[in-house]
Amino acid sequence: MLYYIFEFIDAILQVLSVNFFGTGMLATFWFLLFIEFPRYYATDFIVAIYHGATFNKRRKQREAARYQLYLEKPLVTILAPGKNEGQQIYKLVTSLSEQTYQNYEIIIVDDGSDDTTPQICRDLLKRGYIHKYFRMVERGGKASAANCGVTHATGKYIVHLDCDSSLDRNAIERVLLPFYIDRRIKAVGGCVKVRNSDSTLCTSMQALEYLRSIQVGRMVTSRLGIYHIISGAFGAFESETLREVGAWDIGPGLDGDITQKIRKAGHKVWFAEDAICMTNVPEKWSALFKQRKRWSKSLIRFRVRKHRDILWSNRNFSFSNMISNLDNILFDCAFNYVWLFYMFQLVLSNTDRLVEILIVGFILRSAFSICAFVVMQCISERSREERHLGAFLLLYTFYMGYFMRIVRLIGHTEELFFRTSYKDKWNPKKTSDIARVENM
Amino acid sequence: MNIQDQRYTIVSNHNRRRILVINYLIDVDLTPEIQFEDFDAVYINVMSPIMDRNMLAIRYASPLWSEKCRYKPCYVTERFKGWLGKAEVTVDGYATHPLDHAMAQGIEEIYNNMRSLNFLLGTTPVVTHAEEIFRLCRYAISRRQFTFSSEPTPGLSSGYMAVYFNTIWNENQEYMQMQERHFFHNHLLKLGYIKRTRFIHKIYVCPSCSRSHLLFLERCPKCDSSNLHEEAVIHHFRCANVSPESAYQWDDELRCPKCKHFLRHIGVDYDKPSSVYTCKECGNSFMYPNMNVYCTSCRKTHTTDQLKEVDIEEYEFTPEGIRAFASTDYKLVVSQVGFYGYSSMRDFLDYLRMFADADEDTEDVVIVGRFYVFDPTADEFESVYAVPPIVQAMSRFFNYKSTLWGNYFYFLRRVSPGDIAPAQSQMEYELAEQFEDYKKLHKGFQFELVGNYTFSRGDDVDTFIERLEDRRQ
Repeated sequence: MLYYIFEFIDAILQVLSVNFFGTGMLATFWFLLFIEFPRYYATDFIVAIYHGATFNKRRKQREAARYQLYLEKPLVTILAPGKNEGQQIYKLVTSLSEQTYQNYEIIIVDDGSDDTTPQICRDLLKRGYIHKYFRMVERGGKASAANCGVTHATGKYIVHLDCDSSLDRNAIERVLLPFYIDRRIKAVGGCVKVRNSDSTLCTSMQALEYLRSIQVGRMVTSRLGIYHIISGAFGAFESETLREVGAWDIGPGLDGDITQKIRKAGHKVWFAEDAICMTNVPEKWSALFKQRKRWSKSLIRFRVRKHRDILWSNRNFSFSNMISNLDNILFDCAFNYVWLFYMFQLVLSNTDRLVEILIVGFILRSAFSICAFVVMQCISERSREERHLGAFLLLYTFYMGYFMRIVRLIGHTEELFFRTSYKDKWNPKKTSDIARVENM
Repeated sequence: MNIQDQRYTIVSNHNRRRILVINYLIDVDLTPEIQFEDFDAVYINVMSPIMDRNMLAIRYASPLWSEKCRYKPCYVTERFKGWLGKAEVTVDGYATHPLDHAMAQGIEEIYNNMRSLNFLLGTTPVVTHAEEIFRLCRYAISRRQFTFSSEPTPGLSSGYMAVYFNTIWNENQEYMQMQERHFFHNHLLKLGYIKRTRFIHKIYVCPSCSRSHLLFLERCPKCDSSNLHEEAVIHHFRCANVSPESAYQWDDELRCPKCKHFLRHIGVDYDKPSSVYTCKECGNSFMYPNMNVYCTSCRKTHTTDQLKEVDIEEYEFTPEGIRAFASTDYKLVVSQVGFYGYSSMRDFLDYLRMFADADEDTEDVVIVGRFYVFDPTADEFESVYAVPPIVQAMSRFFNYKSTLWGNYFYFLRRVSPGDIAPAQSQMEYELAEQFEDYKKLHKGFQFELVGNYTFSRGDDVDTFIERLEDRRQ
């Protein structure tokens, strides 16, 4: 037994000595070192250092903005569209009642619920927990429900939430502050974290992913001026701007689409990493697979098709918008195909030492993940509670490195060649049919 | 002399029934020449151009109100057909002539029925409101009206007419209000005198006064205005825009305000998934307006949740009940406390005592108003004559209990402490109005408000009663 172990270690060391020092290493792990590392690790690290270095400056800005906010104390509309979310709405309004910022109206839009949601909402309305409740007798899709709420919103800002969200006590205040830090900012994304992170392995993985790609990832893109997705679960918009761009269009991928529309209209968008919203994520791998496939399809549908004009010069051309879209298209879509090619090339050209290479790759990737986790811990406002997620880092390498890539590849391929998003039941058939006919 | 020239006359029909024919307005009870034994049936042939006088003539000779005509068959001239309204149920039929064959037959049927039920025709004068109710039951039985269903009837305060139909003289009046009915029915059920035969409706009445004269008002949840406009909401499939229909109006067509496309086919381009209200006063938009209910009787506003549920049911007299009421052998001592309306002085004071002793968790108080009635022009003023019309008139105020002692009318009402002053003014105003009406009919009648008294829980009831009685003496 010992003999085999020593043989294995010896082989790995041999692989390392032959391939991983000097040009051999670059040739073997070029995808990781030239594509992933600069974008996801080096950039994060540099921006995180900058973020830490400007802590005092940002604190002062926030204090001044907070003063301005409370001086003006604008009415904020909290808009939560949803279908069959009655059970969640009470929790949502309870968390809202605890907010430090209290000048708000809550609008719930029921998108054709067929359970007890109408009864629950009418009861909440009667008791004054929510201020307005609109019910669509027929389901029209999330965009139409949200737009219905926008029509009747009276607040200066509209905060869009998912019904299953719950907010930190100061989340509304924090998501509003960027509007007062920079008047050019017209939309602010909140930071979404996982509430049920300890339920299953699947949710723990997603908790890590959300920390990495939302709290850190979006903070980075926001600082670089290429922030391109305000999460549907928690985002704030200036009402006037939202109406100016025509609010939400048909989904899926409404959140990315609306952000892109606001950017195209010449406005600045921002990410508030300290405005925390907790949400539930799928507990089963199959549900996660479906959800991510849908998200992947929306990337093709909106970034590649609908907003492709952003990539080249037009009358509203903006370099940062182009980079923003390009970043998304390349790193979330195109490079997945490159990764597939890379994997094939790796397998075919290294059949004799594939296992060793994969193990080394795994070790490298895990090392990077640990560094990224340290960055997450530095950025996170509740690092202590999230520290236990570090135990999943080794598995996270498989999760992001293989599972997510494969899901995205499937999603992108289906949408690119078969346009399957139009058949997705997430949207009602009547709107999907129109979208397909109009090639939207 | 033609019988039609006389104020009244008594004729016999071919069945030897003596019929009192009334040609002009007379008060049968106040006409000493007419005695209970003198006639078997009444035929009212008054033909005044003033309908109110005709109605009054019927009332004075009604088998329900007149002591001398009590339970006797009552027919009216056929010219009144279609003019009596709901009061039609208080007469037994129409006839062209007092000796009409059909009328004679009807009279015999009524008498045969009473005979078969061993119905005692004579009555003792009714004094209290509760006794009046028993008499109504007897009347119903005398006419073989064993089932009393509640028919939806416009104009009645409860919205339904049951056995207690006699007092629908003025359309807004009913002897028994909803809560009294419930109380009374329960008593009769307990004694086995009636049984439930079917459920009719569940209705909602005013929680303050138990009446059903309610106006339902949709109001803006923000400013409470009822100046609302409702319109459909259009969902444009193409761009997911959702706005009120007016936002889409483009000349005669619908055009999306967001993407400027025309909406041509419902179900293909757009649908109308909902409708929305807009308040014209404050501009607020909402889907569910607040529904308030305004009671036109007590003029209070309530929410729909506050309305009181009442089951309307059909009842039927049991054979035991029929026998008991027919023979006036009913073992029914309906507590006067349960009834508002006119009662004896003893019951009136008992109510005060019970109120003082009751272990209730409310802060209600009782207010008492006292009027002195007299007639300086009359040698002997009988204040009791004023009782029926005044009690009758007061019956529309469901929450008054009244009594007469000597020349004093006492009115009692239970109110919450915050409502004492307005309730006293209201009571004073309403009673004065009723007395004024009576004054118009009886020249010389005068009245004067002597005082208002308030009794709170915790006050010594005997001292309070002494105060009332001292003044009385």
